[in-house]
Amino acid sequence: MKLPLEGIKVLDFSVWMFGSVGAAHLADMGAEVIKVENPQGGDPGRGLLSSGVVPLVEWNMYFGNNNRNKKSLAINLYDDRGREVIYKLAEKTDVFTSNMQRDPLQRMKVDYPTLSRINPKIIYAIASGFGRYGPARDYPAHDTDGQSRAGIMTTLGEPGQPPIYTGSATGDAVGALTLAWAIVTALFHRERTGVGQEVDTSLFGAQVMFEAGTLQPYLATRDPALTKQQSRKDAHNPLYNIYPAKDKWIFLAMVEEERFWDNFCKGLGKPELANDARFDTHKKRCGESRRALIDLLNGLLPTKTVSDWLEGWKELGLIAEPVNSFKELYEDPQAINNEYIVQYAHPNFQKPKPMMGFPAQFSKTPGKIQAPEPMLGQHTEEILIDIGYSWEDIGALKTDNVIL
Amino acid sequence: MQAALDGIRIVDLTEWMYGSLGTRYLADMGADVIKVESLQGDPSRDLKAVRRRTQKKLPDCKWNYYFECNNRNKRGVALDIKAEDGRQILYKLVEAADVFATTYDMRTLRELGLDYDSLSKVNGKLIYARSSGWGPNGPDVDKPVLDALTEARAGNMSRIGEPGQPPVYTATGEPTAAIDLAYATMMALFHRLRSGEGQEVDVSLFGANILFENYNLEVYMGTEAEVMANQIARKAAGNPLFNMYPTKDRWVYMCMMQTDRWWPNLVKAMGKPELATDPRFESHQKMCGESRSDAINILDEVLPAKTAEEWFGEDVRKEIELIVTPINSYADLYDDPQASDNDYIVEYEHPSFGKMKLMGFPAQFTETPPAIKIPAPKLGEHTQEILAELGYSRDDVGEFIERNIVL
Repeated sequence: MKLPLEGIKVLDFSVWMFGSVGAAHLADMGAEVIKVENPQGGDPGRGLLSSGVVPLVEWNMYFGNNNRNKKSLAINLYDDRGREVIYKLAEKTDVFTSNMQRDPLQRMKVDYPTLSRINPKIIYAIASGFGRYGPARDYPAHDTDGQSRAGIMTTLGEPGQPPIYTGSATGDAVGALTLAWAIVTALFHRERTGVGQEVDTSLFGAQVMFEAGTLQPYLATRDPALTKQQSRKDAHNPLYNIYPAKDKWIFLAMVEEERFWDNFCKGLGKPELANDARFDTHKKRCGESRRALIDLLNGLLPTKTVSDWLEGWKELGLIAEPVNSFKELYEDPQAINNEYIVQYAHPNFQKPKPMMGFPAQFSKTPGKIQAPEPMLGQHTEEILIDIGYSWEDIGALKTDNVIL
Repeated sequence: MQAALDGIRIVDLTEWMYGSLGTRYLADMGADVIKVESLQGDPSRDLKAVRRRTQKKLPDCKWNYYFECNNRNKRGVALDIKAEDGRQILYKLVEAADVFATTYDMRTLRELGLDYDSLSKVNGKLIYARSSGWGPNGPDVDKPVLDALTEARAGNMSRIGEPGQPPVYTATGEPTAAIDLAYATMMALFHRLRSGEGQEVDVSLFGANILFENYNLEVYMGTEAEVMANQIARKAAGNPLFNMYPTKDRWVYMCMMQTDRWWPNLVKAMGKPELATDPRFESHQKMCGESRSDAINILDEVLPAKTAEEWFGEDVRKEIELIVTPINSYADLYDDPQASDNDYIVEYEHPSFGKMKLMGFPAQFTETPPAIKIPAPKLGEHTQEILAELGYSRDDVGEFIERNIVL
């Protein structure tokens, strides 16, 4: 067995990002993922470029990243004959996953009671906005909605500035990873016991989860300071803070109390500071002289570029990183060597396409991008043949617009 | 009801959050996670050390909420793994285990004979799960690491907030790396169940912070468009109805991307139905093009007059369909039934500290629901019990204690 999910069949009823990316993680690890789409345009994510939301380029990289390694079945699920196909597939399906809401799934008659009657061992995995239960369970939600309710936004940024949305559909990203984890856990349980089940994850849940660093202390103490924005001008350790350098920002992260100061002064080109009575102990640097030191660094660090500073600091054992933009990350060997970003030789294009890589490395069963995102309905025929439909059947279904 | 990971044993040599929380997700699902600590204990047992590492003014509390959050449901052994006898005990543990998880760096692991090569000789089917800062490969593998540094390098910090404002550290990398570890471990366990084959898996803070950026990063890589990598002012949002606005008491986030569909509803809710036919806003193109600033300015002017609840509460939304979410604070989340009904936040009756609110579980399972069965272990709480399970006699254990091999 080359990949962990070889032979595992997934029916992916996802649109846009959350559910799609979760299923893509499974596809990367060898599952056969069939993306089920409506024949009129399919997953709305296919239209992202033409909607003007992102600049128009030759490849829909959003759909491409979120749906690599998958097959596409384009089928009308409001037609009994379309549903019949799904029910036949369900017999051998291991995982059903969707980020559509339970209501539309029920209207399409692909809800859990229906599918589990056909296949009691099925794992039915839902990725919702706010969670299976609770007053907001039926609210439509995008990443911003989940994150807004989760509370983290009001802790980010300078005081007085608007709350900050982390952007990047981070809830989708972390939610998708959580969904994939939950599905594999359910698969594991089923492999050992024969028992399938329902699994639920949500954008809101994922974002509550990733706030743990500040949320858990708040849950324990209700200290209001933990709910507020903190200014970098007020950082309680000037050596753990962000500063502007000449070309970009730099993050100093020297947390151990006395270890770094002398060398840091050398690194700043100001060895005399080491004897400056204002700053000669950690207590003073983080106490009475805090603002003075932050001001000093605010004035000094912009005189050189980040790389010039870091070059001089290599030998001194100082700890800092540039605050990069995606531009630098794109070419960062640390990201490339670990396949967090990969170059994929997409068969439809001359040049390889940079893509999101894999969240983990496996020494024996590494993830792979083996196939590009499917065209709408690209595998419909092959899938129908595989479950016993004849070419005549397929022709009739096409004529009646049940399939594409 | 059953526990999905019943009978799965994990030897947990992790510290802090990113590794320990990862194995804790598996402990919540019923795995027997044995936390192996030095005789001084995981440094995060000391809240002062956590403050130093996170540089956060974490308030005092009669219980260590950081350690509890990351280590509940685990059993604890205190062992001197630098001593030969201590290592032998660890090898015995690994022999009988399914997973070995660690956050130690490669050099230390090699020196102690705890790298994958060494441990897979002890247990050929072992799953070896490592969490690192920068990942297992690349030029900066051994660079000192704190989550903030990996988030800085990953690129998202520099693109959020208002232009001209400093980059923003979100501190979300550790829990993300934790669910990443849980995911990779489960994938390897599933593979092993079907093939008999163990292996090494690696996750990292840097990787987690990159994964986190998916939408903007993948679009940036596909278009090289600066707009995906830079800060964008609220006042310059590309779509006025995908933006945040101030109301009287709090900000709200609107997420109604098809403006022609939602604008009439929104202006009705705002008590300005005439704007629905205002020619400036008559098409999506105009709304997101020439009339953008006008729309944003109107919303900025009107919305501060009432609270978020008054504008967009339940009774309004019963009549008018809208996608607007108030931007909450942790104070709102504390009592939010949406969080407690889904067990994203749970109440736990701690045997020593009484009722407490804890981070809950990120997913629900109808047959194998996660649960908190035992609190985080005291240092060495289960040493004797576990050594007995391994076949050591009481005399052996007594001797180990005397020689400071175990606690």
